[in-house]
Amino acid sequence: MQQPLVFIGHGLWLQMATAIVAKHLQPFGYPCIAIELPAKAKEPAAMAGGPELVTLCQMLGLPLQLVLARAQATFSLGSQYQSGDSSWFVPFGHYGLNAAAAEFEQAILQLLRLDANSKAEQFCIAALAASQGKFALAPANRPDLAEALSYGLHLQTAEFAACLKHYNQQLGVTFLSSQTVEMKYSAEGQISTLQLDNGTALPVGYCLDCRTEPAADEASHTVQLFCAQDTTVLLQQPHSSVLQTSWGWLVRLPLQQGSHWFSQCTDPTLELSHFRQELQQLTGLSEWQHSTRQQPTESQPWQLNHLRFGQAAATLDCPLYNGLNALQYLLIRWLDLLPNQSYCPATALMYNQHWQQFQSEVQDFLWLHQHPLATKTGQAFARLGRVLSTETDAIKAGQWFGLMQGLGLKPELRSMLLAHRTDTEIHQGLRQVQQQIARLVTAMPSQIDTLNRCLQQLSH
Amino acid sequence: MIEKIRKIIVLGGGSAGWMTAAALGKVLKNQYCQIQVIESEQIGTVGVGEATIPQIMLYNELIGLDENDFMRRTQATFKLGIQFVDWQKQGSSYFHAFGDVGKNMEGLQFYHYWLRMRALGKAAPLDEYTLSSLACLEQRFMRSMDAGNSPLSNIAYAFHFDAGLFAQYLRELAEQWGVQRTEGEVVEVRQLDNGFIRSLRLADGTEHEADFFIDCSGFRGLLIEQTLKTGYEDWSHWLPCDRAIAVPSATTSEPWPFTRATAQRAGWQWRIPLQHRVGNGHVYCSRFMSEDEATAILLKNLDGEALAEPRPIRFVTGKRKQFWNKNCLAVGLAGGFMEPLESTSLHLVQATISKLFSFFPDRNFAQSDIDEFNRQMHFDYDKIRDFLILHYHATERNDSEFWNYCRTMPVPDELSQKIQQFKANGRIFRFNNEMFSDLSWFEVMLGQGITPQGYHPMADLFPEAELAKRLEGIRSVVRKSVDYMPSHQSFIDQNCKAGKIY
Repeated sequence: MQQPLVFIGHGLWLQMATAIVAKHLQPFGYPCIAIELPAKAKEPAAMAGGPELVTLCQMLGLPLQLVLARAQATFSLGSQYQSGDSSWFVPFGHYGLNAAAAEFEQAILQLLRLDANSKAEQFCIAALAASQGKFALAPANRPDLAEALSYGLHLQTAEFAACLKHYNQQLGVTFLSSQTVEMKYSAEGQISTLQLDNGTALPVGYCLDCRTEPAADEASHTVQLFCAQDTTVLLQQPHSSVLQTSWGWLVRLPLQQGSHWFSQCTDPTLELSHFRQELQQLTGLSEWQHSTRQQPTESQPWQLNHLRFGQAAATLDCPLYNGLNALQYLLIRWLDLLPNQSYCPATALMYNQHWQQFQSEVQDFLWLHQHPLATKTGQAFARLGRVLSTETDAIKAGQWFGLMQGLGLKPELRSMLLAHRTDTEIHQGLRQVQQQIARLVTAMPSQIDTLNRCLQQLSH
Repeated sequence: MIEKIRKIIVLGGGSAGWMTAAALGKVLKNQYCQIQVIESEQIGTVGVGEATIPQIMLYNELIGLDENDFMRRTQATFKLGIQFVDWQKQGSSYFHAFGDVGKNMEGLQFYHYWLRMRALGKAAPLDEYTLSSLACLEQRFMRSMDAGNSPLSNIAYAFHFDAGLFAQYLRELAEQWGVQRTEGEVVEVRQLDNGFIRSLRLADGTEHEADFFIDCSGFRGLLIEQTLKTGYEDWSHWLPCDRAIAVPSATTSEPWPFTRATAQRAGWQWRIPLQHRVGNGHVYCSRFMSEDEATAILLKNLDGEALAEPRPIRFVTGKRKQFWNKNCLAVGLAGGFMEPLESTSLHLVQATISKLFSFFPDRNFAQSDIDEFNRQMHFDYDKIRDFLILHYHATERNDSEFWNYCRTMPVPDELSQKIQQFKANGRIFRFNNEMFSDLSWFEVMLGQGITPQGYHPMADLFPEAELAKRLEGIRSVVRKSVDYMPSHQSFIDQNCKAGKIY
């Protein structure tokens, strides 16, 4: 019998962590115990997960149809951005028909430079489908399309958590509730037991800590959060919507029965009345819930047998990037390395270095939204039209490209690798791709049809 | 405001210089800007970068090389990997083979399953599951064919070629694409007030101006170092070899489709089979061995008669503090040198060229672009460096002062962590953009005698009997695939046989 894996936290993050780890490690004799603690802050009612979430459901053996039905989920091909008069799409999938096509994005940028009426979205199957309310699961015999049509999900958080809890119970995870949990340490600094409020002392192999509340002494900053629910059904939009505000961005996540709005401000000096007024103007909604929270910091999530994954994921959690994606990364990466099972300090050290890289890439992506030219990534794009190579898969190549060209960064320099092609040749090549993409999208069903088909499959 | 580069000068015409010039010529077609190579026949090239790795295909594709023609013109042979002899201990041998090892199952790398069965004493040697290794041992070769899931569909290979002929071949192509060649020795480098290079004055009195200078002048770094004083990061405490003796020898047998690196008392010896001769060299550390002794060892271990006088080469392992400084980019040996143990020299040339196209400048030379270019180059060099250090450091050899030094020297932290992790769990941790794959790390760590105490727990999910059957199936498929392959010599004879030189 292996030492128990003990999960602590609450809500979706706790259930997600438990499901991922229990599914993979229970066959090796690891007992899994989840301790549900009271939530200090209410979880957002809805969330958006990227393609990793879909992959994860497949890995867990959770049928997509079940998730769609239980969590009122809809599909997401990416995000539709709106800033003043300009709008653009940031897809999960790639541009063009072949992800490896050399200099394709450069060709698009060259066209945009010459033809003001062209838009990058014309060359992206996900963007075009999203704009027409279409969505299809790529057929098994078209792995190329699967990549171009990479999709995530919008979900009701509580319902998805309930679905995962049921899954965890079926896996044989033991659930305990406690108001508090106290960690007892061994002489080597490892957590030896967790003491619950009823006096129970649980021995610990690894403690997977999914709590998100920063301790008082940690460097953290305050953010103001706003959310609202909207009854408008947006099934013709297989995407998130992102609107620019005077303080940042407002995100709308459509579910099967209505949608949810979220925004966040890091400026503590702005007055609430200002927010409410602008939010009402933008959305027509007057009922906005407001809360504040501390945004934690965590660069060393793996410390001996204490895995501070909730804290780490929370450093990135915001309306533009769901911390659940980071939590998944932390867990999968940890499982990949896990330990057979002797503790190896070098492994933890390298793991934490990778996490810092992941964190820095997501932060760069988020920072681009506010100050595109203050980031190295934005500067390189504005000069060369290139996305800097990344060391992790935190943000997809299509997302970087879509965001930066959408934000209006126009490269100063042309691609030298296209220097021997005339503008006419480039236009012709792009137009051919555009026509093929248009044909593919024409043949796609609407998101409504795809959703209905999936839900019917479940009822049968 | 864009200020287009009007002219590029490539200084130096060895492999690095002509690889750069040919790529620029092919891509820019002399329409975008003028490209000039300045080289002097009075200054020899190092010319020992004769072995490559599969990434060379990307360069060949970029310039649209006809592979068979290139093979004939450069007296090339194919390469499926490197055999390391006597590295772990005297009498040991292993292959760092290109391409797949076994077949991954259930999303888990093959080697975890192999480690499990090996721990039970029920696995055959790793080479028997590796097409390239087995083909090396039996001197067979073919290019990939359309054969479904067979390993014959995915044969990774590179080349051995005569570096002098390679440079000559690329020169012809580059000149066809509009690159101008100027014979001459640089006697003065003129700079602008801001330190940028303005022009090169040659011994014949002519002066050549350009906007952008590519320094392929070799170790001395005439522009990047002697002119711009960029600085050099010395790695000789980690990679202590600082001398090489090179000599060609006569061919005595059919060429092997692999490079052999044999560890010697204070370094190692390479053997690179070409169609017309064998390239040999002895890389050694002058702190532990004299030139005479190194030469004697080299000559004693030749398979055939020496075809020239042994040629000494001096170097300091390390890299420039900046590969791109102002309007000067260092390519090849001018940028750094890490010895030819894993045939990475030409790869680094190609990687620099590829990044140059991504970061192609205008006359404003944006510092942020240059900084990012340098960051990426440092990443490439540092990761390759660690992989090379592994070969020296992870050894059981204690038969000489040199090996005692290497075995006990402190190594970079990241390498040390990688080794510890592999020992503990059989896992390899790497970033997306590292050049050497986890398979390369696995083959070399294992070959150097690092024995992992564990493997991925998922490898236990197959019942032992089932796993044994699967491994046997993979071994049998690899065996049959290798049986199907022709001999390396007959493949060359049929496709790319070169004319006789010697």
